[in-house]
Amino acid sequence: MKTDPITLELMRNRWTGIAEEMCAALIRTSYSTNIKDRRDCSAAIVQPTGEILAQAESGVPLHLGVMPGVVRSILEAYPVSVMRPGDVYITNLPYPEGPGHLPDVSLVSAIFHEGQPIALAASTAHHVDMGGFAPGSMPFGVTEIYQEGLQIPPLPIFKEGRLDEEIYKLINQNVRTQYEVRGDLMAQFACAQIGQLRVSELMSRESPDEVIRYMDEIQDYAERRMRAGIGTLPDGEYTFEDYLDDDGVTDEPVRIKVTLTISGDELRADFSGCSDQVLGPLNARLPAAHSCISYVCKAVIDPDLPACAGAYRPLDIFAPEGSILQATYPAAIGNANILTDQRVVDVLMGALYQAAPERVCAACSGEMNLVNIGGIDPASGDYYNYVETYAGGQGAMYDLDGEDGVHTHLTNTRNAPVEIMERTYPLQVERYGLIPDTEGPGRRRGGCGMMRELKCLGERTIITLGSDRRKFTPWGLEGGGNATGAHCYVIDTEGREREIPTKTHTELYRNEILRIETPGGGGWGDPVRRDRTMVQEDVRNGLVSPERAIDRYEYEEGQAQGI
Amino acid sequence: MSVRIAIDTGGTFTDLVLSDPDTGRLVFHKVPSTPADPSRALVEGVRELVARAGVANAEILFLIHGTTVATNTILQRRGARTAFITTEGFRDVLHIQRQDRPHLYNMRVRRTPALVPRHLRYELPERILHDGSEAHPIDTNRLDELVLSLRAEGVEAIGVGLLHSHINPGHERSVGEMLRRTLPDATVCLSSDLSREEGEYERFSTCAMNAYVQPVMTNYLKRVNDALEDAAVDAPLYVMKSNGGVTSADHAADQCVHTFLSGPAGGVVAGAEIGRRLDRPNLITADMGGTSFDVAMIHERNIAFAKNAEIDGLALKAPMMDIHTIGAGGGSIAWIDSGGALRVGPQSAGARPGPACYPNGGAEPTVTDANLVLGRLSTRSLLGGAITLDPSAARCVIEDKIATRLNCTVEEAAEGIIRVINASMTAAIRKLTVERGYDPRRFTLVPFGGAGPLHGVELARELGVIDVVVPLAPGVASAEGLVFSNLRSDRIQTHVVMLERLEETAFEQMLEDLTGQTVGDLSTSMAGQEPVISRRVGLRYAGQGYDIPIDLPAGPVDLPALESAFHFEHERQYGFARRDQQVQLVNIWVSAEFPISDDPRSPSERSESKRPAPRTTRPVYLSGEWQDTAVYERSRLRPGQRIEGPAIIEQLDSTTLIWPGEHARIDAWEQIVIAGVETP
Repeated sequence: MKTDPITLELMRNRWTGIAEEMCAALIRTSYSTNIKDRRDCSAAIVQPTGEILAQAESGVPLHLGVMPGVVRSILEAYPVSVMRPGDVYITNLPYPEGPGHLPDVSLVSAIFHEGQPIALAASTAHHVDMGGFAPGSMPFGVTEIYQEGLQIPPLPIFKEGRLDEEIYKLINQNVRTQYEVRGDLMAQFACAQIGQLRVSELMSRESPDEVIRYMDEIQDYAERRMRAGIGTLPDGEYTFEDYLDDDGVTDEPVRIKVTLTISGDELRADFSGCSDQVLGPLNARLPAAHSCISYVCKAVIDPDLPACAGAYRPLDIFAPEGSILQATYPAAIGNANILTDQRVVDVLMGALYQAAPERVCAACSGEMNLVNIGGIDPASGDYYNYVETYAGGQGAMYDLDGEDGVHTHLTNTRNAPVEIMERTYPLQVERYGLIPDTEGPGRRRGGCGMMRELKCLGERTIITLGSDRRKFTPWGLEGGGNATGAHCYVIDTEGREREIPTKTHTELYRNEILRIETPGGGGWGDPVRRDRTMVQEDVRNGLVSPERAIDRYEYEEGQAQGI
Repeated sequence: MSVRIAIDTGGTFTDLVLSDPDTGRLVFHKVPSTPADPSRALVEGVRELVARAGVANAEILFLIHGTTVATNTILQRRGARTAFITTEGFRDVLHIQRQDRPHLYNMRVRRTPALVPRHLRYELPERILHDGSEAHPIDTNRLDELVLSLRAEGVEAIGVGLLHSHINPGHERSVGEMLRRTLPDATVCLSSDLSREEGEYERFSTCAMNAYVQPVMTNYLKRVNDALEDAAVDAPLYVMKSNGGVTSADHAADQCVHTFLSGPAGGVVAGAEIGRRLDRPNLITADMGGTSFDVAMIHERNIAFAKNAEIDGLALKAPMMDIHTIGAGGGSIAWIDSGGALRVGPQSAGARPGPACYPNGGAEPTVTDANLVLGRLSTRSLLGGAITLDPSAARCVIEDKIATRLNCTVEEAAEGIIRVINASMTAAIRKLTVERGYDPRRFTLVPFGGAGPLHGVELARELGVIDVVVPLAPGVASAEGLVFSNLRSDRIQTHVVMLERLEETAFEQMLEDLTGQTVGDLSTSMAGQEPVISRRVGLRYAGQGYDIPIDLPAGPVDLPALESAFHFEHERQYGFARRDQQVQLVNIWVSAEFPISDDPRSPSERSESKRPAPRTTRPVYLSGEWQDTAVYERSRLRPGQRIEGPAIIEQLDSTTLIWPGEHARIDAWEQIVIAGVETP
């Protein structure tokens, strides 16, 4: 039968609309900061074969490549043929494939029309806590997934529309934030319900045969789009490598290396040459690299590329078993998505720079600067937990400065407003702003990094930090300079400052101040060739000091025209 | 003295309406806008309108103005040289915004730069804590130095935004007083005067925006006043606000952040008025113009308000209706993407070069071209035929760019363009309704704007909406809505506390204070009248991030009733409630309204049973075939008359399409009601 491009577009819009509506319901009813503010969640409609048909990724691109693995692992244990209306299956297990780390909990259920399963509804959401060594279940100082938290293999968690309280008891006993976890699970259930409801409506409004036939047409369409996009990149083999400072256990740098092969309309990413899996929780499974590539394809080729299985067909991704991107059970995995995955994006950008320099940016801050603070709130006597990821500088492009203090690549979290933080936690924000002179200098400069000073008002305050790029700072391109890297300090009540590691687990006492400084973004081109008016503006705005302007940009007062 | 005049300034035209409730008469008028100084078109239009209607200036009771000056000042960056003073350590709050980026995947998209550059953002040592207590007093020496810098920089406006000023505005007020004393020529705005909501970036941004726009707005409204005076019109001037109510010109200038939706708000008010006339509590208004499609919702007779508003990428905390805008209009361009799918928009040919069928039109196929090719628009449907459209140009471009590549006929391609743009518009309406738990099947659709009534029935069919009501003058609905508006003010106060810890007496006191302030915004000219007060609270389950607004009935507060209303609403919207869990109060909202406008029109008592005679018949392409279609002139249709589809109803600035099998009726207000739209 002939494909009608108009019906194709209408069907595609409908499925995307359903996935987006599912995700909106999940976000609006959720409790975890990671879901409601970071929008670290996604919802998808999946064909019964396991192929993603439409996915709403609301805030964090990390879920893009992970969802297919989630669905495969559920279907492996519970094929569609055993699923009944109202049954919902859960997993948070990243091995052999699944969500990216234990706090990411996925639910999958079948959608029925007139008794027949015609699609699956899937959602993944970052819960507040899944037990383990530290609140938030993303600790440093661990070396096995057993320490990170509760592992839930594929299991039926809702049966005929009701939560299975017996299985749930086991989960409930193992998590610190029982009220929130149950609430978020209900939010994911609501998301699945919306999916069932909307698909039923669609099936009764349209011809069911046509709806089903166009599922495959949508996949073929997405494949054509992706192939057309890859086809615009010049053929060749492009290699790039970069490092994580350390794994938080040893001081050894961790190598991330990729060889991209573009031939015609296909793309192969070979991660041979990456470090072997590490002791610290920076390991990942291959779907994470898949997410990184999906993100980079959208960023470099076409932001509008559809998020469905067809689009992944022209991609071939490889990492050797036992390497950091394809780690062997039970390697610790919790922080790969905030650090390792950002570095994977960096090396993909570095490799694509060789193919299409005008489409990529210099290195961005290259991490997510996770700050997790917990303790007893002296006002209420209750346990509190504050989690935030801090923005940094964006890398410059050939014709654009990088943005200052902004989330880049795989994360796009909104900040916690100072007024809400101070009301909610025993913390007082002393300063929050940009750090001058942290930009990667260039004809186009990188963005400046950011700092936040937090005074801890509780008796004892437990801090977990997850950041990187102190040693291996964000690089520039075409002669642009590197940006300043990440630094963390504790300022005691006497005003003495001491630097602490970027990946750490430590305690602060009352009125001590934690100061977090995030990396800037790399520059593009020779800074000496930077437009003099732009240098002057940076100096005037205090983002570049007069000394640095002379030193790095060879700027002399009055050089700008019209002065 | 009963005549009201409304003036709605648009990009191309300034629309005017004169309404006389004594006689029920409405007179419409249109003059070309004068973007360099919109007051010229305004006054010229009023002069012409009054002459046309044959009323004396002394008969004018008041004028109501919908203005785009605030919005354009931001979009064109033509505001005052503005400085900003904030708490020490926080000068970059306006720069970092919420640290997120506007587009997840497009690396080239940057955040909107702050209206106040970094070197004009000053830090002041002082500190109020989250409970309102003072941790550090204001460093007055530093403040004195700041004044010197502000003077040296020659700033015209100063925003003051200090941490926690929504709880305790004391420091902001002291700084404000000092600045007004020492810099009497500068405009000074305090964040706590504009918003009492928690969240420093949004409040500071609102304050910076107000400071930046206020001098421009003050000047503009003064020019309008002077020009009206010269024209011997001395009736008071009211300005439409984003909340759908009006306020005095002075107040509008001081709080100009409340006027960003001054233009489009009128159309939504017109929709609400239609609901009142027909006793329909739930309506969706859909305004389709050349480049954009604006939808808004009226639920249980209340216009839905926005939670987080933005203007040009800058956050804004001001009570404003929730108008969801997408880039879809008559000028939206059709194209074929790299996967071979037909796409329409968001690129638009705009008014210049415009659709291919326009004189000197563009080279890309647009929605208007498709409508023309299908016979749904006539060659003379623009401005009553003042501009002639060229169907052969439209055919050529659709054939070249679309039909040939899709291997289909020009008609099929044109119909496809309409179906795809309709799908985008339907998705926009679903976002506003379905995603928030409202079932569009319980709503009436009110399409207006030049292109709205042409697409309305198809949208309704897609959404399952039952009835469509096309207003009397769809092209000037925004102006018409202005004459129905009342004096209105809204205030929102953040107050986060568990319901079970809320003391009823303290809560009553807080409501009373907020009500007093809200009424105070309006009452200067309304001595002796009683305002209509409505109150609402935002509630959520402790730990959730989004609150649900729940109406607070008049009289003493009944907390248990409030709580169960919340559980009910949560279940309605999301399918579950957690009745055993704690409910948290997030904010209080008070709205005060003084009615100043009655519906000027009364329903016609005469009903014409004679079938109307079509002006002509022309072939229109509908559902895959050319069908002979009767064309009616709207001005000749009388209340009570019925029309069976397929039919086209044409008027000066809009065309309504009635599909085969559907029935339209002219109601007692001369509105076209297309009832019982069938869903396939």
